[in-house]
Amino acid sequence: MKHFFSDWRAQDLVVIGVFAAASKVATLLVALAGGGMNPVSLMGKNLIFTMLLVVMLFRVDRPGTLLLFTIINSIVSMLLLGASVTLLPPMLAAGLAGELAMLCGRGTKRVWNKVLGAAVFDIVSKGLSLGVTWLFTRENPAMLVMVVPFVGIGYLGSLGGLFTGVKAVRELRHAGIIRQ
Amino acid sequence: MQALSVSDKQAGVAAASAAARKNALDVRARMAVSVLASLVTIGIASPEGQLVLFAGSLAYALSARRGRAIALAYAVMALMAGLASLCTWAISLLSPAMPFQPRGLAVPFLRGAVMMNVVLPLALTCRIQEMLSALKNLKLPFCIYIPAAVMIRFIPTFMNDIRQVAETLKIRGYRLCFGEMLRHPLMLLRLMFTPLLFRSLRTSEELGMAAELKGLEAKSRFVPMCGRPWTRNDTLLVLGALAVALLAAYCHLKWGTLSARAMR
Repeated sequence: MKHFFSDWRAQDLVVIGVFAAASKVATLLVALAGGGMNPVSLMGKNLIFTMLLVVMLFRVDRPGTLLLFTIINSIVSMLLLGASVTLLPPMLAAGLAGELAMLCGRGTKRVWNKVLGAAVFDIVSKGLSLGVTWLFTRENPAMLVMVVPFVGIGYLGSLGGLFTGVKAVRELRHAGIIRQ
Repeated sequence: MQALSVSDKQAGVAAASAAARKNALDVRARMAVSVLASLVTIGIASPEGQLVLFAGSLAYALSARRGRAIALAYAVMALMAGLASLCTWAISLLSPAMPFQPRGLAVPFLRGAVMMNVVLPLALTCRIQEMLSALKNLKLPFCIYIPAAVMIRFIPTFMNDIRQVAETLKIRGYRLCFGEMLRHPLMLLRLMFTPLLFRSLRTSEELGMAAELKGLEAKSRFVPMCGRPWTRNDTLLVLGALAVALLAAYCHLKWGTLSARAMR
């Protein structure tokens, strides 16, 4: 654990922070521009988030990146943006599941390993977020039923983000911006 | 004479803002209230307890003295609540197993309102530098503090970048509106966010190099630029929040358990 906390290069940490900021701003702006709960903006914001996540995983190629990104996003959302503290455990669990998936898929081609990590993170975080939604709306189950299709539509956007992320990484590699 | 009166006015404004800053509450105290509220509001499932929390949090939000912003936030929230009620009513028509109960909707909406009330003062009154100092004072590990500080520092920068990209697109004849987003979503996303992706990569590279050249590493020591002491007002705020939480829990246990059971 001590090794995990102390063995990071400042450059990698800065990349994680910049991508966390970019994903937060981009998703917020898409949500605002699309007027909140419409399917296009829901898919768009999930697509952008996952695309940035995939690019970041390629940029910082070391174990623990996804988990640290999740911790930073959750802590800043909780302390400064008012996200509920109940979202922290599910997000941590999703980050850990993504890391484990990447660890298990080490033998596969590197591109698909990162995509697998992002995909597992997306599906676990969406599933567990529904659990948190149940905590908030447990007095009225119809509200949870209403939320499920929106989460499903958002997940379709995340799936699209995996493909656009891989495409973006290929182009960035071609341009020499990502060197791995 | 005119110049003298202007400088007097400026001096007055500066003195007033300095006094306001001196009386302002610490970011750590506001963060503590926000975390406490999010925990308590989940635990309390009755309208009685939630109403106590709502009253306390509303008083706290109004203490920020940003009436217009708070009114705007409430208007948006009322719109969202109206839409959610409409959808819930439609679901109850489709599925009789889930009847429409306005009383059952009250608690989730009150939860949302309580969270909004505690977040608004934090968002409306705290400066970025104060937030960074507060993060540093929380004594987080190096690998969490650096990305969190970078994230908070760069959120306004990226917003400005996106505004510039949008202006550039307008100059080139693209219409950036809701209808256009629905008609050409992929094209707009590509036009808006490809520059953001490149900007993120470039910024992270430059900032990372600067951090390494400055010798920033896990063992280096940081000194916050403007360390703000914890004052009596901060302690009073946290104690007040605890008192409201305890009162809400008492009301929930005394009168709320029956009504919560009735709602189910």
